[in-house]
Amino acid sequence: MKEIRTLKGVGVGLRSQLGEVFTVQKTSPNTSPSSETKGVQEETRALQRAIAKVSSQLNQLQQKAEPTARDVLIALDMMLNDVSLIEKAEREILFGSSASEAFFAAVREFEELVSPDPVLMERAADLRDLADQVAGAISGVATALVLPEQGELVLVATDISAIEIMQLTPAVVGVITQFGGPTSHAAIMCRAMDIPMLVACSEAPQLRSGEWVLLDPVADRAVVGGTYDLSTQPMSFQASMPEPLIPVFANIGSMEDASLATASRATGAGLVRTELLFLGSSHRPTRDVQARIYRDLFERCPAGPIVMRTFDVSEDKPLAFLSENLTDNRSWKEPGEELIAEQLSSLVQAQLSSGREIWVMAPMVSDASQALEFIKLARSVGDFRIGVMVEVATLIKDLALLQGQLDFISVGTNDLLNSLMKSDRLNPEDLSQTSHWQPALISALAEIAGICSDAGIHSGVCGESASDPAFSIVLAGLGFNSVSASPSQVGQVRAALSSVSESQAREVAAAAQLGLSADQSKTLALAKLAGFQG
Amino acid sequence: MFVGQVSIQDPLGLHARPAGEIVRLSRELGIAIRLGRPGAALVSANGPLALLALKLKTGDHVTVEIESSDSEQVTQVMARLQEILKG
Repeated sequence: MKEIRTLKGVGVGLRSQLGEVFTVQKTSPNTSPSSETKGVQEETRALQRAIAKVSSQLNQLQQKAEPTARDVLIALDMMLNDVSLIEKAEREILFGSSASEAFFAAVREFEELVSPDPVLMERAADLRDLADQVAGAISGVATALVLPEQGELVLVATDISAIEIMQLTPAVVGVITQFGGPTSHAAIMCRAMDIPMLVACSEAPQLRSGEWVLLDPVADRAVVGGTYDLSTQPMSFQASMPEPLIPVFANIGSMEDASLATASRATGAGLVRTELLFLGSSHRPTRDVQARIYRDLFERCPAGPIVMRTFDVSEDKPLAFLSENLTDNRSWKEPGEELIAEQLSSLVQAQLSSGREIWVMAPMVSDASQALEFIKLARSVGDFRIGVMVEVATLIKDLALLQGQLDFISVGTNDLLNSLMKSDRLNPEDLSQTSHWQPALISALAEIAGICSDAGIHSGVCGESASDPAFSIVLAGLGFNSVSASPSQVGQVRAALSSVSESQAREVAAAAQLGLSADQSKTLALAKLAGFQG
Repeated sequence: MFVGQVSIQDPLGLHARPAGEIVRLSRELGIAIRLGRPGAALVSANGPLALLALKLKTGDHVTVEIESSDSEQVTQVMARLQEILKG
């Protein structure tokens, strides 16, 4: 019987692929850039010629690239031709470096500036790859990979650059790298080209040319000696009920969003970012102008309730008319209480002329007294359902005090996660801190849903996490009454929430709460879900 | 010269593509644009790397200087910048 070994890494792509291992040794010229110099003028010219040459290669690759790859190549070209980078390199040449040494020195300076930020280090890696190409162009050494034209090969390398991905032959059906991350330009291009990839696979050097391997990106693994029956299918949700467990609303920031939301079968608008409707205006819109714009928007919105968030300055400092009275306080009153009162009264006007059900909510509320001030104001102006965003950790404990006063809340999970991190409940060193699968966030969400349910307050989530279909099931299981997703995700989230029963959603939520890290929470929840999807 | 503020709304922070778009905007209009954290030194948007090195993350506020006294143009540039930073 054949030996089967599993190598772990981070998968890129959704499709499994079987192929023959083809290992490549990267012979980059940067191991010893020539330090010989032919004088400042010569070296400066050599550098400029080499940059121009690599730049024209990038331009040629752009011609045949599809859109995602083209964007990457354009970004690379702009990095290569960065004025400050070239100036630094030319200064190094003045100090006696050769052209290739000088370019590497400039790249290293950027690397030191951005270290240890993991995403920016990927850009530094891109730059190093470009420096390899530049050094190759200076010395005349070929830097391209030499690959067979035929076969079904899984390329195994220490790392791979976006430029090398563009030069792969049709024989390459998959890529495994020892280093690199899932957000590298190379990974973005592989995803766009439908070439499955496993990155950060520390055991990659153990693979030998000629071995057959199953690349299984969905399971973050490669299986040596594996066959397609071991492939892990990406989770796709089959709706088994006519309607989702909880209503799925849409987040809206423009007229176009509103039309998309209606097309997506969203139940209503769960978050209208009102300030974004006035991005083009340099002056404060009058009450009548606002009322007209809101009415236009309401006409395009899906049939259900429309949740209007009052002007949020944390998102929109460029709007001069909102920034006039700014202080450093975080409060819904920041644009000026009188301005918000005017906005609410223009909403009444639009509500009356459109006949729509309007809910209003305030951003940046950090305690019960701020919430009560907003409730008092909104109640004095019109007949709305009144709510607040929960995006500041200190508000959570105060929610119970708002029983009987507050109609609804909507959680902004991104800001709440940031707020939890600032209060030291999370380790800022944890690289997965930005994931909505963070145990600290999930336990805060459980607490919020529990308090709201006891206090008779409608609870929703409008943050990015609600656009993740699997996570929307967790939210339903935790007891939230609605979610609001970006219009493009409404269909997926609806399908997910129509594929499980209420008790199954509770089990998925319970599984997610057992994790000690974001990764664990996600794995546990997805495993539980996979069992239900049959 | 105009001084204003924008914020990073892109969930990935300020990454390579939007940084490149800002550089292109500055080049196409022939107007110097400078960005930086409020209160700190600003960097010129003449190349993407200096912008990336600001390490701007989602929710960060950014001070913007635009070398233009044409208020209509400034408004357009600011709107475009905020659009780019939305991701």
